[in-house]
Amino acid sequence: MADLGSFALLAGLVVCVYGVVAGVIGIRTRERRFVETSLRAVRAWAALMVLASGTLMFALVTRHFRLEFVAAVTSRDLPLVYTVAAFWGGHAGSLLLWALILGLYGIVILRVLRSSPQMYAPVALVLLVTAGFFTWLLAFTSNPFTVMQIPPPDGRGLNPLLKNPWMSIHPPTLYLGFVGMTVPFALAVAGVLTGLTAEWIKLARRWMMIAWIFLTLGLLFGAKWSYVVLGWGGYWAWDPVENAALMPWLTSTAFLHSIQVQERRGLLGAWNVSLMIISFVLAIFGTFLTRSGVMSSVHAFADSSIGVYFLIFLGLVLASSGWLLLARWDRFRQGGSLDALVSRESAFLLNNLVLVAAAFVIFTGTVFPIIAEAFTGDRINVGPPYFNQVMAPLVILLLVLMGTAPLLAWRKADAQSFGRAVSAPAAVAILAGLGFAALGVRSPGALAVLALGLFVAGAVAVELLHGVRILRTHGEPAAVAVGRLLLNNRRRYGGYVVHLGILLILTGVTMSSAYATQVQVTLRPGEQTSLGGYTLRYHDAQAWRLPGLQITSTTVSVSTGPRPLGLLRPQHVYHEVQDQATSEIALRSTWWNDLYLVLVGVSPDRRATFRIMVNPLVTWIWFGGGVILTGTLIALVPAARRRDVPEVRRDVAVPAGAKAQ
Amino acid sequence: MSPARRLAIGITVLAIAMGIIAYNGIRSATVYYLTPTEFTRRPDIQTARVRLAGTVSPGSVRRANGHVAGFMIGDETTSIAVRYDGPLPDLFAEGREVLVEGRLDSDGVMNATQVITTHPTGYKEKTRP
Repeated sequence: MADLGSFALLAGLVVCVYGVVAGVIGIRTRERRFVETSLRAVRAWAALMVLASGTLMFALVTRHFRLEFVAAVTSRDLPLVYTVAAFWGGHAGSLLLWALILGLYGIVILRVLRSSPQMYAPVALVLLVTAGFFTWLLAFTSNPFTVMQIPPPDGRGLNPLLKNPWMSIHPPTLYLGFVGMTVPFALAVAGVLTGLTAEWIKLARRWMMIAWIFLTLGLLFGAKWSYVVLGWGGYWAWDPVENAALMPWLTSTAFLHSIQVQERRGLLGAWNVSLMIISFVLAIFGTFLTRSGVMSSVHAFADSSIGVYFLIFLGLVLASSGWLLLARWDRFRQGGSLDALVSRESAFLLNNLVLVAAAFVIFTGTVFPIIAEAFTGDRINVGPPYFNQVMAPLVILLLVLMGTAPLLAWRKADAQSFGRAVSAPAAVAILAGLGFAALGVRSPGALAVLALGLFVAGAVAVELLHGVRILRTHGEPAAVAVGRLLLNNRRRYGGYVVHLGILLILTGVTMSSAYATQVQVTLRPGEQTSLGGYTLRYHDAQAWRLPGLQITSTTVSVSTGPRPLGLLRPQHVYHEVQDQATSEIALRSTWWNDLYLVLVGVSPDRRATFRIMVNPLVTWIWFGGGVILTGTLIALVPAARRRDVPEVRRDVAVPAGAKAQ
Repeated sequence: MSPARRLAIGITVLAIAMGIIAYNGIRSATVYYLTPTEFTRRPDIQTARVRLAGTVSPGSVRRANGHVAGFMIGDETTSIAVRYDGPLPDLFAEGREVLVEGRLDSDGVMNATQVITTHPTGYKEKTRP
């Protein structure tokens, strides 16, 4: 079995090299048969990765402990679901998952490109080079099919912290996002070589959106896992592995905005291609941060060859795509120019700069410790205060842009009509800000986010009303007009729905960071305590054993005022095989707050120590994720064919008659 | 002045402001990360914010009202007293490896603002993809 897997990897490497050579000849000579060979190589490589992954999956399910990887991540008592998830429960398997997903993306994108075959050759080449790099790592540094001479009787089992549904879907989703960045990158190279046509813009935008939504969901699943499993009551710690996923998210978000400027105005072509390259580089860099061990210590990194390979690959990607951009610079010279300072395109440009600046400051904070250790030998840590401090002004700036940009016309905004459009949302925001302050919200950050959030929501409403009015002047009833508007401008209104999702997340994050409360108390059975309007009464503790586990469970009844809300059972689990203790938190979520209960320990006289937290509006974060997914799906569904509805644009004045209504 | 140039000036101003915020942020949020022995050998950072990595010395945990109020963090040769009454992580126990973040007080006791247990298996390398 190990032989089959290793064979698939080596054959994959050979196929990649063969395909790259054929592809390069194909690009140089423009001969069709060489290009077709490289396309076949992509498909053959993908098939080999499916074979390798299938083999590893079979080995996991059949507990083939002769494989080092299988013995490290599974054990005989592991349930089937987590046996499947154990595939990405370790280093080598994660890399194989990377390759598998790249293979699947490759097959799909080649199918999609049937209508633009001029892009075949460069796309296949980029896919094969990336594929070759990962196959190399798999075959020579992190082979999941490495065998042990003496197989152990049982495996070490999956890390208990990974035995959670959110951890089962977090890595594949995140990887669909990370690996998905390869497709826009391949399209960027193809675009620079063959021309940035309208068709190219559509493809680039769509595929970036696909990678983006997976990255978004991957980030949120990871946050959810951190929240329900790690038991510290938070969901985001500015940990390097989290930052690794946030950076490409920020740059791809920037791209999804600036590509519209290119679509409408023919500007920013080079910038957009650069964003596609940077997003891919950051995705690879993210994989490097999490896979090379560089974050735990520079020295651990220097000892492992995989990190060096990653840096070489990153250097090659940056150098070759930079060279390509400069060599084809003339391609970007055809665009128009910026007509006015106050316009939709300059708002998008500013939004891009803010997003890229955010990615840059996160990058700085993440790599600073590595660089400082390499130069001074001091090990330092750049903590969350840095990230919070630098991100706060950027987020506020983004919210201002998010609210104003939809109300600004392309080319040159008319001050009067902008003033009219912006006055209502601005008034709402100011009144809301005063209202929240009167209600006792004192944190300036929270006030700013709440008020600006309503400003953005108000701007979306104004924008929607504006469209409805135009349609109504064409004689549509209001309800039909709203429906038609949404159906015929899916990308735009899908985008606004995504904005609302982002607002929900920002509100949840801001409020839960500013107003979370927590206490740690020790209670005797029968004693009670209260926090944030909840009263908790500790009843009793029980202890029992399951194979390999020692479980301590407590029963706590929760009430608010006279109203009982039910029982919570926070537990403490000791995993004998891994010599590791985990907390099974108890959580009671409502729209307003989460009661988050952690059992710290139970003493022999049955006194139990709890950590109790009340975290406001955390549910909004997860709900916001759902809203973002909905908005993205609306935007991704191909637009309706019928084009009999006039396009609603800000630069079209509302006829005088419509205003009277 | 053309719109593009005015925009460029605005962007430069923004970038500089951002740079200053980031620089101050890094300076104030940087925490040295060392063992108690390394810390005592560094007179230059005695008043800086540090993160000490060591084990909770057996028998050193001091309690008040059922809560932990302080303990000693040590390595093979040195140990440093820690004052702390905040929430403790799950795995906190005597003999466990912990990270203590804080600043040395004038009485030579570390005023900790945060205590983190380092996981025996180092979950971060293992679990995050």
